[in-house]
Formats: sequence, structure tokens, C-alpha cells
Amino acid sequence: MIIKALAVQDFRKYANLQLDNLPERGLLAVVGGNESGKSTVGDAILFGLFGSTSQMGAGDAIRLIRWGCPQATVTLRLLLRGHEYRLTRSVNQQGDVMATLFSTEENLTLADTPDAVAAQLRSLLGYNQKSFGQAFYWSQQSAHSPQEDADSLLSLAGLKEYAQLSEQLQDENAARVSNIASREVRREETLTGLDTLHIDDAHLPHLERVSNVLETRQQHFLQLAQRIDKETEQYAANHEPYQALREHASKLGFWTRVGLFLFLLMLLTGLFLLFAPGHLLAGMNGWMREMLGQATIRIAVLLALGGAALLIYGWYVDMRRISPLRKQAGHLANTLLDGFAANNTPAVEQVDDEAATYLRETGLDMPERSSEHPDIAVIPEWAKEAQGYQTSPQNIQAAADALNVSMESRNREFGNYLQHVQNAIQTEQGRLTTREQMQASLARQDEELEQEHHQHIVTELAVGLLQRNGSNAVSRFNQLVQQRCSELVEQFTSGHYRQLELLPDFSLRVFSSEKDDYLDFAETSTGTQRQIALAMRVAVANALADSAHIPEQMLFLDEPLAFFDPERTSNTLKNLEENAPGAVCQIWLTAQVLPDGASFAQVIHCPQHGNTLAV
Amino acid sequence: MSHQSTPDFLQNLRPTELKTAAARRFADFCLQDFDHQAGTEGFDPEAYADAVKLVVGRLEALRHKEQAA
Repeated sequence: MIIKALAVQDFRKYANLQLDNLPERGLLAVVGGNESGKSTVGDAILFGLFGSTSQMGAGDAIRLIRWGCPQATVTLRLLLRGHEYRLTRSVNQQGDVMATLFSTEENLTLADTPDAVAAQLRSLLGYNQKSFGQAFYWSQQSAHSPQEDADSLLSLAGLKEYAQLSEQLQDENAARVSNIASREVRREETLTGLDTLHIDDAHLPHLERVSNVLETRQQHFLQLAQRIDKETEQYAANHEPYQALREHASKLGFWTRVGLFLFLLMLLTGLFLLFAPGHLLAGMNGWMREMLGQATIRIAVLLALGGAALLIYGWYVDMRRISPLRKQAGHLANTLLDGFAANNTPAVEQVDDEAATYLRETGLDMPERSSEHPDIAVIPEWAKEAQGYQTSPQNIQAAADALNVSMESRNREFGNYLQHVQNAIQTEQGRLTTREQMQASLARQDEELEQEHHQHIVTELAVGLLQRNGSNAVSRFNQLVQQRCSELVEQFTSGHYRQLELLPDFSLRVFSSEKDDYLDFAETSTGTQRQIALAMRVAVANALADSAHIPEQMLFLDEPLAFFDPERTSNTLKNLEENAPGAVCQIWLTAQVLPDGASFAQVIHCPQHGNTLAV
Repeated sequence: MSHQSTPDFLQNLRPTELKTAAARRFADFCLQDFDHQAGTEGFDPEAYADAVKLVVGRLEALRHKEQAA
């Protein structure tokens, strides 16, 4: 496809642009300073052909209309396989696009809607807009960094997305490896922290048992003090009644014994009177003896009954009245002895072995006695006497007071021990909580690490899949380069570089003749990269033209020489000029000033001021 | 494709429904490649499916980024 003429109305800066009788072969230079409208020529060609430009999609076409004008129109006269066509496309302020493809030879409209024109063009050209953009149009604006030259080459290979994604994934994985390393360090720190806690799981239950023992013992002192008070009061209250009852019981005992004696006396007398031999009672007749004997027996029976009644009553008094009082006195005696023991026994001997060991390990001060009150020394004696109410209530009260003081003292002492063990429990619970938190943190870290490791594997697999999937495209690209581009790269770089190669990991390398080795494409200079990219573009343009069986093809290069020194510029132009006899024969290039070193088939000077250009 | 051990994502993957050509090409390749890889020792179908999911998702997202740009 060759552009024979270009007519533009109200398109970007141009109110009117008219380029007629354009040469079919050779270099066409579009020259002008910044904002002179050089790139607009390329945009007009793109819009005319496809309805969009390299910078603006079809939806933004309205922005191509010259300021204040109702519509923009581009007309192209195309020469394709020896036939001439006229393609007109316009867009109005409402965004409506109209397009017409007209065969000048047949004087026939081939298509008159944008869709129909697109279909006809695809059929006539043998390629679509994307292929045109990749092969026949190159813009400095869209390749202003060296990376974009590499991207452009990868795009030619159909691998730009794969290469971008592969690089992105590899970067992510590199970051992930570092992240995994730092996470593993943090995990090790957590593990070390856990180890340094040295927690014995049996320690807290041990402390809790000791605490229970001490608490129970403390409770015992309180209860003992209460019992001492209560039983002392009862003792005082019981003391007098007990004495009275004892006296009463004593009298009952006396009269019981008297009754028994009399009973026996009467019984023996009666039996004697009744059964004694007659000569012993010679002065008494039989009737008298029998009557006296029976009367005596009857009195004995009465005395026996009286004695039995007294005996029963005495038993009743002893069992029901005296015995409970004695039992209470016995309790008091035991309580006093308990208190005495609690006072005189050191704390470690009042608790079990486990608690005793703990108390010894604490190193706390543990007094032998809780009180040195003088009354305490006589408590065992008083307790013994109290069992029979033989000591006075005053003595018992004195003992109770002394023991109360002692119990309070013991209570405080055990309170201190309890506080100590509870502090230890609190500390241990804190350590256990810390361990739980660290274990939870460790579990979280393990889970995150596992996820990171999995993601690392998945990402590596993804990169491998991308590379394996791209391997066919890599082979095709390298084949194309070998067939079409080796010579061009050498020519464009004045023999400094020879072979461009795309590696399976989507990196590009180029063979340096000077170093006799491959160099990473990114290691070469910006100018070299641009030269190689241009060589590839020309090679691809020729390859596409050949594959589409197009004998003549235009190529538009927008400021391709921007980063070149005069030598590179001259060399590039020379090579482009030499390429013109091939399929890619009409080569447009824009430049700020007309470059030296080539003979141009046509030079178009864009006006720095003004909006009209006619050539 | 052997569906017995094929992860759900791959079973439900329809290349024609993907928006980008790059993702479609990749999905086509993976669906064929999965059967070849499935017999190899140490092959993890779930990791494979996750990798395909990752790439397809990113390639489709690239399209949105390009459109936004």
C-alpha cells in the first residue's frame, strides 16, 4: 500500500493540508520544529485508514477536530497492488464517523460505512490496524524510553504481555524471597522467645495447690478463733450449772447408796425373821415373826423401788444434763489444745510437704511461735482441767484471749505467704499468657510463611508456563530475525552488532562484534537500541508485506533519528534508502531539521506558524 | 483432559470467554499442557491451577490497565 495523496480538512492544527503526487518509492521527509504538525501527518494517515491514532482511540476521535470546526475530514489516495483507491473518513462534533472507500478505476463506491470500510480494507490490505501499527507505523512519542524499544520488539514477537507479566512475577518472587527470609528471621525470634520463657506446665498447678493449702490453713485459724470465742462463752455459762449439777448428782448418789444399804438391811432382816431357826428367836412367837418378817420385806421392796428411782434419776441427770456439759468442756479443751498447737508449731509443719517445700524455697521469715504470751504456756494444763470444769472461766477467758492474739498473728503470717504465692501465680499466669500469645503469633507466622512458600511455587510455575507457552513465539521471532534482520541489524549499527536473539525468559540479547559475545539488549546504548529497533521494524515491515503479498508498502517513522548522533543518523538514512527498493519502498520519516546523508524523494516542510500546507 | 483430578478452575476455564488474546492463547496452551504434565512425578494439580489462575487474571487485568491508560 502506497499513499499517493493526502488531503486533510480541519484535522488537529491543519485547516487544510494537501499533499499530492507523492513519490511511490524513496524517502519522504516531513520536516519542522516542535508543534509544526509533523506527527499530525502520521495521525492523519492512521485516522484515515483506521479511524484512530496511536494516541487516541476511536472513542476519542472527536478530539482530532480542529478547534471551533464542525468536523474533520481525511482523504487518502492509495495505491494497492497496482489499483488506486480513495478513502475518505470524517468525524463530527457529535462523534459520528463517516467513511467511504471508492475505487477510482472502477468509479465505484466499495464501502460507505466505517464497518464496511474496515472489512474491505482488511480484505484488500491483508492485515489489520494492530498489525499495521506493529509493522508500518513507528512513533517516537510512543517509544520515548529504551525500555519501550525492547517492549516494541517483544510486541513484534507477540510476547509483550507475557514478557511484562513474567518480569512482574519474577520481581514479585524476588521480593517474596526476601519477605520469606525476613519472616523466617521473625519466626526464629519468636521461637527463641518461647524457649527463653522456660515454662514448666506443672508449676502453675503446683502454685495453685500451695495457695489452696495456705488458704485452707488460714481459714482454719479464723474458724479456730471463732470456736475458741464461742466455746469459751459456753464454758463460762456452763461452769456454774455444771458445779450445781455435780453437787446434785453427788447427793443423789449418797441417797441412792443409803437407800440401797437400808434395802439390804431390811431384806436381810425380813429373811432372817422368816427363815431363821426358831431357837434364835425364842422370845418371839411364829405369828409375830411372820408378820414382822413380811413387813420388813415389804419395807425392803419399797426401799428398793425408791433406790431404783433415785438411781434412774441419777443416771438421767448424769446422761442428759452433766454429760453434754462435759462434752462441751471436752471440745473446749481440744480447741484450746488446737490453738496451742497452732501457736507453737512453725508454719512449715502445719502444711503438707509440697507447701512446706515451697515456703522454705521462698526464704520468707517463718517464726517458731505466733505469740509469746505467758498464758499460752499454761494452756495444756488449763485445757486438761477444763474437761471437768476444774479451772475457772477467768483462766479459760485468759487462754482464749491469748490464743485469739496468736491466731490473728498466724493469720497475718499465712496471709503474707498467701500473698507471695498469689503473686507467683499472677507472674506465672502472665508468662503463660505471653506464651499463648507467642504461640498464636508463631502459628500465624507459620501459616503466612506457608502461604508465601505456596505463592512462591505458584509464581515460579506461572513464569515457567508463560515461558513454555511463549517458546513457539520465541522460535518464530528468532527465525524471523535470522532470516530478515541479521543483515539489517549489522547495517544499521555499522557492523558493531550482528545477531538479535530472544531468549526463553523473554530477555533480548544482541551479539557484539567488538566483544565477540552476546550482550543484554538493555546493556547497549539508547542509540543502539533505537537502531536495532528500527532495523527490526523495517525487517518486520518487509516480512509482513511479503506474507500479505503486497509488492509495495509504505512505512511511517515519526522522529526515528531523535536520539542519534550525526554518524548514526547518516548510517540509518543510508540503510533506509537502500531498503527502499524492497517491498517497503515508500518510507516516511519526520525530523526537526532535514538530515544530511541521504537523498530524499520528497521533502515536506511543515509550517511553524499557519495552518495550511500544500505540496 | 482427564477430569478426575483436574482442579475446578481448569475444568471451568473457557478460553473463548476471555477478553484478551494473550489470555486466550495462554489458557489454550495450559488446558493442553495440563494433561501432559498430569502424569509426571511430583506434579501438583492445585499449584498448577493456581498458577494458571494467576496468569490469566493478570493478563486480563493488563487489558483493563491499558484501557484505563
